[in-house]
Amino acid sequence: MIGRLAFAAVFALLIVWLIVIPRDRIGQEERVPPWWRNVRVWAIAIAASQIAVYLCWG
Amino acid sequence: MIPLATVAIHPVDAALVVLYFVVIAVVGLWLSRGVKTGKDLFLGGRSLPWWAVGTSLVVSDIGAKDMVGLADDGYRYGMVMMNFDFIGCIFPVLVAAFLFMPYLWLAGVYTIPEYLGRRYNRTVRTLFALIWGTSMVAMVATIFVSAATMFEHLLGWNFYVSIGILTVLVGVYTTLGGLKAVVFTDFVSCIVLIVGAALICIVGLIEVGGWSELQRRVAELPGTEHHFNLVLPADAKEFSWPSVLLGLGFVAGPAYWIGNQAIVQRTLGTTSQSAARASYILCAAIKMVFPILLVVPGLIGLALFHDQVGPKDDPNWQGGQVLPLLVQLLPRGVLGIVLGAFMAGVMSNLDSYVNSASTLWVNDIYRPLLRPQADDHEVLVVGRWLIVVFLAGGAAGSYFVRHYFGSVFEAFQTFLSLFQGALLALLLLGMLFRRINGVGGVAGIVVGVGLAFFLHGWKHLGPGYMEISYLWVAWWSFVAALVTTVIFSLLTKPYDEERLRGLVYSLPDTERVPQ
Repeated sequence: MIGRLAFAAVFALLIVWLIVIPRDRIGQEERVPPWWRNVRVWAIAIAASQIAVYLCWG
Repeated sequence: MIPLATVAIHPVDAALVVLYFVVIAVVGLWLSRGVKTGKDLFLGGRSLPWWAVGTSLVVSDIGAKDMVGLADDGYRYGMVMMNFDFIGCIFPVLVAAFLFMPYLWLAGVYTIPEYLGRRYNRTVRTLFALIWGTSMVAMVATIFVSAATMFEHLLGWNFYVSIGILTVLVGVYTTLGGLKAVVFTDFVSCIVLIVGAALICIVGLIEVGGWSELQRRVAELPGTEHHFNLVLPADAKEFSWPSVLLGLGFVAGPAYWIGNQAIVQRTLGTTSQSAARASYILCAAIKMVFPILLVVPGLIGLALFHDQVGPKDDPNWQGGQVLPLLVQLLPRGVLGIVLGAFMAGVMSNLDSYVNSASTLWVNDIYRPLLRPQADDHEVLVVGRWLIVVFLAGGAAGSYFVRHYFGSVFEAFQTFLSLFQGALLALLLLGMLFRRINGVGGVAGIVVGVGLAFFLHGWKHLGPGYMEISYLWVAWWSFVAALVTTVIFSLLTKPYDEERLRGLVYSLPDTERVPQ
């Protein structure tokens, strides 16, 4: 149980970091692209799916 | 080992394989028209689209050794092997996309050692160039051996005839078309690979009777209580969760996806840093599916063929049989697509490594150390000849690898773990902290690589000294290199800020446009 929580926690921390990265660090200082072209949104979705994978299959 | 009956190829299957070869050759040769300079050969003229690079990243990682090896490991260890793509790939790829890629791309470098040379000094660049350059040539030989062995077992092809065909085909489009041909042929290969691997899973699951039946049949076998768990207990003999998380997730995975020239080179060839980032995100998305496609066949093989392949804990257990047995279940036509997928895995793996080895030797050894006055045309010619030399050398080396090495894959993983920890420590510290300098970098390499050698030799000290997993070796050499680099950097003079601008996270150079 501790193991699967540890893996899920790593991806949860990754999501927090992805949310707080300043826009100018990822080339979005002028305008935010629509969600379907926003790499930050896709990265968060992939990390969230990994949390689900580890909690379900861990 | 049970002698395997090779697969009989129907003309329909053979036609599909030939069609794949023709498509790859035509795409590769068509793209060779625009190669006029070294930058075209090594970075595709920095004009590569993100979607092609993203798929190329995936198939540069997946080769014959992974397809056969992961099916075997899925049979022996179960779903825990998926961690090599989940925590070992998706996690570092997402970090790399937002933290490392922009700096490598903006630095306008061709290679990772070139970046390290700018950030630290020439000694660090040369040391890592020699280590990576040598290991990549050895990797070409191991790819040849794993591919030719697979074709020999599966199709009954002569070992050296397989190598000859691969050498000529990959040699022609990689030499002429460079990275652009590699990336676009990889795009075709990725699609074929996904379809082929999915067909093996679907046909195998139908044969077993579905997912629930697969779980039931595997659970009936001894020693399979953790086969459907991704995370194993902390006291597990192999792949315990702390070793997977620390060794694979925090060191080996990031070192491979951030510091491997064959991986990083294609993202340096994208049109912008946004495209480089998008290519990594696409790679991570595709990698959510691949571990299932590559490991589940091993579980299907365990349910269907445990009588033929034998107990997984048998010390004489020999790999390489699970996938060929599964392939024999495939119907006519489907077999041709799967064989095309095998070819795709082999060729995309091989073309990536010969192109990257050539890039590394030309840019980090030949030009800075041997011929600083070399012009762009000379670099192009030398780069092309080196691709030919590495393919020929890999083909010749395959004889020795086949006859003198027991487990090629494990030997190479062990070799990689000798320097992956130190490489990652230097990349992380170099990109994140401006206080780190060249003296610290050199000290970090010496201590990190030295400790890795010591830990690998630990078991030879006496009967009471147990073998240490290569994942733990990678972790502790990383820690040692990290601490040493910090201490020596703090004890010596720092670099001035202007020297570090655009190379360190806290000193961005947003106006710079790579040439």
